[in-house]
Amino acid sequence: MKKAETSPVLLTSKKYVKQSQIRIILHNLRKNTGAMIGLGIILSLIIVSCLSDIIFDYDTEIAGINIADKLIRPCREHIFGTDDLGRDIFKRVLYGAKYSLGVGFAATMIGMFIGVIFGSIAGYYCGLAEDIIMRCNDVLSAVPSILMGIVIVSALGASTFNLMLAIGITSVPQFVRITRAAVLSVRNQEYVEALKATGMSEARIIAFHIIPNCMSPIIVQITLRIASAIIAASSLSFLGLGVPVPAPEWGSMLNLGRQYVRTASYLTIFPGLAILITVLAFNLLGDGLRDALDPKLRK
Amino acid sequence: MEETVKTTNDDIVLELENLRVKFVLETETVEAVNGISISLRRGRTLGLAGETGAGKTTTALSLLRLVPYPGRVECDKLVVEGHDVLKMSQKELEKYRGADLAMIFQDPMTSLNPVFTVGQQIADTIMLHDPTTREDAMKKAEAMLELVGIPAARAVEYPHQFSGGMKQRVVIAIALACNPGVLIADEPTTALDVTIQAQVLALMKKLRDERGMSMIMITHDLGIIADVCDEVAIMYAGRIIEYGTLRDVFNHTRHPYTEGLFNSLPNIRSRREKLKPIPGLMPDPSNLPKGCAFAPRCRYATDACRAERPADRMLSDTHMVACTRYDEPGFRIDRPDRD
Amino acid sequence: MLRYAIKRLLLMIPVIIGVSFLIFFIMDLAPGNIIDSQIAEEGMTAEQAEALREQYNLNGSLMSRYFKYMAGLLRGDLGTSYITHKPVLATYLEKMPATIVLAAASILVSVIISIPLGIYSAIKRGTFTDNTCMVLSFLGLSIPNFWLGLVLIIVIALNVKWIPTSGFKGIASVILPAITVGTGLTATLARTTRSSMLDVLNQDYLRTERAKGNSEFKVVMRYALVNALIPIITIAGGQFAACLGGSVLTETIFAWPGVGRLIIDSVNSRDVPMVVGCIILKSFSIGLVVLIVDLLYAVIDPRIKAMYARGRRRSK
Repeated sequence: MKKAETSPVLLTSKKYVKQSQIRIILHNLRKNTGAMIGLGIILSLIIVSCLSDIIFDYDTEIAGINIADKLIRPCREHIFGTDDLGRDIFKRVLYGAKYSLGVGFAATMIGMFIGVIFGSIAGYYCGLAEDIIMRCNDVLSAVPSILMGIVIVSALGASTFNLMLAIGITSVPQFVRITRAAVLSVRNQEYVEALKATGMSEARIIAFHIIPNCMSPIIVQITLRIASAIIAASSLSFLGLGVPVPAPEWGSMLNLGRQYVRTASYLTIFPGLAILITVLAFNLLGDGLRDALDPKLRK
Repeated sequence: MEETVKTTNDDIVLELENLRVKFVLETETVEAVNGISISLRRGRTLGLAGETGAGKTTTALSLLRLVPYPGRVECDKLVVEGHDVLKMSQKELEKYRGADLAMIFQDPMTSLNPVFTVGQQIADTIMLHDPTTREDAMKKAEAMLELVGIPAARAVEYPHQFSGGMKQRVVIAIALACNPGVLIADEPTTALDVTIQAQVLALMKKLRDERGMSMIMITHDLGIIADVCDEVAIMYAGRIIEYGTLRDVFNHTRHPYTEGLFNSLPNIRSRREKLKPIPGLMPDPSNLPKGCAFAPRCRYATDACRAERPADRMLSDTHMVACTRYDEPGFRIDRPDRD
Repeated sequence: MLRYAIKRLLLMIPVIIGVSFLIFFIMDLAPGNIIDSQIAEEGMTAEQAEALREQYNLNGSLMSRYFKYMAGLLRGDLGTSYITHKPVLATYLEKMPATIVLAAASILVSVIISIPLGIYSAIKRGTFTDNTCMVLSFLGLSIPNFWLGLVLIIVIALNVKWIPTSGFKGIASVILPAITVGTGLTATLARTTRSSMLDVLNQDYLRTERAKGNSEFKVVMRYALVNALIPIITIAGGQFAACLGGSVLTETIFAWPGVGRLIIDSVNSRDVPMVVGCIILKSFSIGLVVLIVDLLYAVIDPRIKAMYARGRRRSK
């Protein structure tokens, strides 16, 4: 009873180092083989897209017509074969990366920008603003996105920009919903109450304590949305409603291949594989990010 | 503890020897239970007390052979109601759970299936162990509800329509539905309000006495132990460090940890007295100290304590303590005996 | 329950109004229209032209035309096709059966495959089988389904002669389109089932079920699965709704005479009333299926039933 004031003893020999959020996330991500494969593929696609105009001459190698070489089966010289106008499929597939990535990124950014703004407004300010935004969102999401894309592009005319715009608009509802849910759940958490009780200003709370906690679902959504935007872009191009023809967009290459599906199936196989791999890469990364960012799963 | 052989002593309903449970994870091995032996006589209640993380619940789940996946259970002997549980097939185990040994879980909020009526959930247990029609089972289920103080008419309601205390009564009804010989209650009142706690405890005591059941009461609340139990085992870091009759442990406390537990209770009679918490924290079960697990927090600890795990020492026929210091003649902890 | 259903149906009205306005507005952005070029080609008189324009609701400002259209909608008149000159609603209904057959076949196949697969993956979490299933499901998710359709035509139809590759002629012709649509569904559903089961498998009440003496099989297949069903039904219902609206790309590839192809054909031929009408009908049918799914929740989960009965909207 005399020695009641014994000081606490360090009971474990483990070292507890303060770890930053980003370091933990990167650490978790690095352990996820799938996500790393995805990231690798995406990075190489980005590099290919950046260099494609340096490596290839668009007018001769990509869009240039060379009837003499038409419909050559995959061989040593043309490893993916050539199309009906004698263009090398391999070069076109590589060159096409920049369309898919570009449209995917740009459309998702458009969707995210609009969606996050309206979503956070709806999340912060309940009441009329939220009601209006959410009802508009209901309307927008009532139309299946591929149809919405088709309608928008067909009304505005087929061009790369209109394609981005159309896909961007169709991805708005998802972002609105996710941002609103994230903001709402964070806003109602007790730590926000606690911060208010300490007298911190509302603006500071929002900027430093609410937004950072909403980032992870948005980041995950961006990655997964790029994947579906790429599919949407190639679908529309496949229907002749996307990137205009001579450009080697993968979807429009497939549209061309469709006419030769019985005679020259290689025209169909390779651009499709390119879409598959790209989409797979984004899905893998998105899924890995979700696991890495989800504090519930973190141990 | 006296040596018992399962055939010679009918009085023993549950016997467990040297239970060890490890959770082998990718990065570490958590040693949750490190050699626990218990024997429980018919109609008696054993209290298993200790802090959160001492391995109480894992011990209970081991008795049902329900330790979840990465857990590895090793055990020298586990005999319940004359059945050797270690030799049971999967089918026999299913027959054994609920019929010979039933368990009440800690959190009534989450231990009932939300999409079935409480009547169905009780009737399910009955039908599992007693081939009968659904109607009969439902009748019995309603009788069980009445028994735990819930009107039979509420059998058609769903768990979300019950309060916490009522849910725990339902859980008790499920556990008792097949008249098990042994009931394990894992902190049955922790999640409840204090007034409800008293009601639930009184109900459990009543049912135990009426049915002559044996019971293992797991709790960190020494008040409940004093109220309900005949014998007490104090657990620390996956071991029993003091074991004896209620009187042995409460009035003739020997282990420094048990002393610490008592000292950290508020004393209603003298409000002036300050609480004396045990310093430090329970050791990390994936990284247990080499010697006595309590040594780092123990004010009586010597180098010998830190060097080697203490063996069990019998202080009387019933009273066991695992503390090296009792090798020294005349060693006493500060807490006075009260009789 | 009934009151809830009626309330939800009423709530669909503003959404349908919004959708119709949105599509009407977007289609109006397109320059020119077929009727005007027809007028120009056939060299009609000013009066004839005016009458034709009036018949196809082409006169007046956007808003006045919209109100006229909505007035027609209230009477069940969704306008007349520019091309075939048939009523939109009749044409749509004519194309529905093919789409329903395809949707039902795809969802049936994917439910039968994906749910057992998802459950098995969840139980065997982290094993080789689980990992294989999840890798496959990732592939299924990432495959652009129009490409899958083309590949199926290349691989199967050209080797297995009895499977037709286009049109809707008998059971065999459903096989390839159903696989095309069903692959993505199967992947999504399997993943949903797995994660939902994983959530449920950690719940305390399953420990209670095990402690009662239930076999592991019964614990998983009865007590866990029922609790895991809600997300599974949500996704399956949503997918079914989407299929019911017609899979534009799959129907195009397989020349499937369904709603999806009707829409894309109308878009290509600039048949504005057909496009607007089809999209309204499609959104409506999707909304209806989603409502039915929501009502199904109440059958499964008494907590949701209680919530509906109290008349409160689900907050998510």
